[in-house]
Amino acid sequence: MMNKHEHLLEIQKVQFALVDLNLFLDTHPESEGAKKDFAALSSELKRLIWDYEKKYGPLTNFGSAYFQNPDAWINSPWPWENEKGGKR
Amino acid sequence: MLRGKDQKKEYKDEFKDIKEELEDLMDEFKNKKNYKDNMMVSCKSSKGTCSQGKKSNCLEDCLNDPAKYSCNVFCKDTDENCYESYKLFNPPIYAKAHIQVQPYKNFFNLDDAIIAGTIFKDLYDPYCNSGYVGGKRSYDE
Repeated sequence: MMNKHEHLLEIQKVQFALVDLNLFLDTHPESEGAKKDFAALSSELKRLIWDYEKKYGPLTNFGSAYFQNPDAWINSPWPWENEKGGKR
Repeated sequence: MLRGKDQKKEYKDEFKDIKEELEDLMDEFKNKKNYKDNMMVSCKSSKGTCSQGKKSNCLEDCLNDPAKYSCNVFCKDTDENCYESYKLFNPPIYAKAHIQVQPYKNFFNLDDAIIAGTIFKDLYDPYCNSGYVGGKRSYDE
């Protein structure tokens, strides 16, 4: 079971891999392996974000976040409440 | 202030200067045009151009000896140019880059990728040992 920080880190790892795959696909759009991995990681990222937002509140505020847990919105630390390197 | 004869002489001298300058420019232009015309030969009739041999041979020749005449000739029909005669292509080509196709293989795991800054080990390895990512032993090695 991941804690909040580990969960966030996991999202960052998958997001990073997706950014790199995105760059690769810009120059190799025909690569079947890269397309397959991109699709798989995209689903993985959606699942991770969904789980995170359900537990800890929204990651973004652009209308796409899970909004059935409004308590978590105000319980999350404000940016100025974060310690250096992120609150754990 | 100049008046009468003096002013006329002044205008005349000025005109002479402008005329000489224009003549120089015209000569320069003619030289450039002649050069281009000479180079813009019909390559089919020109000795030593690519159209006389196979284009694949030509590429090899030009890679070995880029200074060869046939590698620098400017044909009216650019298809007749040697592959490497980029110096005189029309429209001009200022540079060429060769980028090797990156293979989709040899990946970091997700934990190491975010530290290494790439998912591809081959992009990291020329600079750092991919067995040690971020100064720590990699999960895979």
